[in-house]
Amino acid sequence: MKTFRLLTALLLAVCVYPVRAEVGQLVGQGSDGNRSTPVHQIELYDEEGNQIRPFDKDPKPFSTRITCGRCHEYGTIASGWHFNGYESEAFNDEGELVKIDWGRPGQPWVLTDSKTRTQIPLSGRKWPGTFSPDELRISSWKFLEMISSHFPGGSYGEIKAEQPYEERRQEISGLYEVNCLACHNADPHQDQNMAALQAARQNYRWIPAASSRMADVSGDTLDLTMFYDPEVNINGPTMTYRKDLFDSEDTVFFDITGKPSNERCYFCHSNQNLSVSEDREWTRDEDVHLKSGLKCVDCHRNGDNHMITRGIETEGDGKTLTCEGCHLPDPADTPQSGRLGAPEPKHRGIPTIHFEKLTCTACHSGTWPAEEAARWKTARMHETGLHGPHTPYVPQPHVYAPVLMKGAGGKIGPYKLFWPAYWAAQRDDAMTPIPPEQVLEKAGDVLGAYIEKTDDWKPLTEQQIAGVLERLSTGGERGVYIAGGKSYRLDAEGNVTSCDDEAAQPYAWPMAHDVRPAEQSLGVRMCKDCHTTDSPFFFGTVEMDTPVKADNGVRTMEMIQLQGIDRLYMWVFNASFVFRPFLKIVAFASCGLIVLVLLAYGVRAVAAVSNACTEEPE
Amino acid sequence: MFQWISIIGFSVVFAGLFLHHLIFPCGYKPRFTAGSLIRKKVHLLTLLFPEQKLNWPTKFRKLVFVLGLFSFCVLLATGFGPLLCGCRLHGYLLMIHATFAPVFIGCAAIVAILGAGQYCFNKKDAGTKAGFWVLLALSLPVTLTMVLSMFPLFGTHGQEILLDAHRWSALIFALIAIIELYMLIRMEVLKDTER
Repeated sequence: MKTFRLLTALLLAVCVYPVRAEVGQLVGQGSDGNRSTPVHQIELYDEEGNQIRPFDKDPKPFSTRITCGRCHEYGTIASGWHFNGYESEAFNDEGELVKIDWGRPGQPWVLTDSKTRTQIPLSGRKWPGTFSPDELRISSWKFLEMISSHFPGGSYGEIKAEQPYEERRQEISGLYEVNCLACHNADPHQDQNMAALQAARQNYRWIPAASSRMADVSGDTLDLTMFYDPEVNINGPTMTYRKDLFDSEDTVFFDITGKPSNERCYFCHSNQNLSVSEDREWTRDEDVHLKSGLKCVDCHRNGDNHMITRGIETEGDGKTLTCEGCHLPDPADTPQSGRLGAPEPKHRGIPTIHFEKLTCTACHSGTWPAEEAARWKTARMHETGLHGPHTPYVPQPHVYAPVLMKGAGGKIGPYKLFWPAYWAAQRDDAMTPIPPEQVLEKAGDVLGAYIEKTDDWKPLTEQQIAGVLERLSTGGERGVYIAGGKSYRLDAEGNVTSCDDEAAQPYAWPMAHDVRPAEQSLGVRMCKDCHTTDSPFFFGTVEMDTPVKADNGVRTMEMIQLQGIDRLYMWVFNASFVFRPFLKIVAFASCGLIVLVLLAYGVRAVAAVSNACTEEPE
Repeated sequence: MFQWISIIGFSVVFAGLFLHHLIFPCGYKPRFTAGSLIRKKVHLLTLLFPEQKLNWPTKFRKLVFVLGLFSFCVLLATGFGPLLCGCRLHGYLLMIHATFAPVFIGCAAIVAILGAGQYCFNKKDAGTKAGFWVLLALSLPVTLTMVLSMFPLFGTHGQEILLDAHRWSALIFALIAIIELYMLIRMEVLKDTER
């Protein structure tokens, strides 16, 4: 009998194992339906697959690719939004590698340089208005260096360097693997500030261990020469794992959560309104959803592939995780609205045309529109959240918000934007941005190399522009400067001419948060919130930010110019709202009179009919 | 659907009136000479003017009626014009529409007060009189559906219902008003030719 059972078990194992292997199913993939979080008491492995033990001499940093990858499909995860900055393919929910649409333009990375008055939107995702790092001849290694303070690993962190110098540096620093712990470590010790510090030191392979505070890391690969040998590790980074972490079987407990806390998201996705002084930051509220008890990840969900839903109807499977999806009734057979306790809005007195012309966020998100769009900081662009003696001061790019403009979907909504500024070489109609180092090399003295690194950009005079353009115009290429919505060129006489240019249009991305409560949304005081002849919604201004010294002061643009609406029409339309009360009075009074006439003659008609019926025939 | 029903409705009404005019002619003869056509147009135009023999209240009523008629034409053109072209009422047309709407309903109320007595039913012109009272009654939903939507009373679904109610009641109002106008013109022309 025992033999039979053994044979049956073996047979089952033989039958089942290939099936699991065929679909590449690892323990951590998918879900068996149990909603409790598995306890992650696991072994640590370095990047070569060797198990790390507490009393190892000169222990290596653990690798998330190997350690986490034993149960989770690392490749599938790494193709998700957070870790995929340039690939046009990703894994879908079925585990198939498919082409992906980069979708709605989002917040880019920005190459800034105050000396050359440069701020260029960068993205490998080919969003309109952005340049890829390749176009600016920025290697993946250099790009990683630029963005690593607020970066979760993967993507540019794992591209093999090609230039010999960078290849050597990468061998020393290691790859910046997907740092799963940056989001999923529920331990309050998880420290992204430490991750940024290690990234600044180019200690990429040490980041997961150091930022989780499971190990103390000292040393700096930036200080190491090209002849450093990691195997010998003299003067290289050293690390000491906390001995209390390991149990008797040399496994370590990770306090892993499937639903990362808001704090984790905030590190890279915080924004600051600079019109509110830093001392008054405490007066700012958070998103109403968070205050209602939701977490970021309640709406921004993902499967194994980490293609996190962005709340856009057209993307992925997330239709019901949009504003409409949770808040509005769904005509489908199975009701989907009211998810997560979302109340259905009444929108009393708001004509339905508003829902065709505006995004939900137009009225509900960001700050209440002001006469002038304020300057903002974002965590990723301005490297906020870094504490300590090396806290950077990053004034650029100059981001403005909320700017109410028409987006790609044809609806008006709140956006953040900045005006690209860069030097470019024009050959025929094609314009290529020139990397700031090259501009400095050719015309650093004209631009004034005295400017401190951390300073904001200084005003640029026409003479300076002329001087730089002259030096950039060589060999059939014409120098161009783009800033503040204009392009600047030299004419035949050597004078600077400027004109509005499509290439100089602002780069904008939607501002979905913070969502305000209904009582603080546009329209709560009815039409006058927007339909007045000076309403910020239409006639608020945004600075056409430029370092070029303008003769006529600061140039601004009205939001209506970015909304694709005729200004005169909207002004007249808004002015007509003054007469609305009269319209209502006239209409009600007229209706009242008509009712009286109908009643009076109706009574007479009834009386006449009654009389006719009661009269006896002669 | 509303667009197609509107197109069919207006087509049927205009075709019906044209046929009626062919089968039951009134006014000057011969009917289709150049001189006759011009004379008819001039005659129609003169119907808009108040007659000298009228007293002041009647003249005032006529002027209000003419203003109301003009407003109706504007509302008809701005309301159904874009719809028949396959687009929606918006922009300057919407502003013109909203400007003439109170003028029209104001005129309708004045005409109702000053002229209702004429439309008491007796054995003559029952059709025209019935049309007057139906139009008067219909002017209420046409107006109130829009005015009420301007108050914070109805939510999104309510707004949709109000807009639909406005469109449908306005369509019925417009079709009946066109027939009523035709009958009024015939009445006046017949009166004039009898003189």
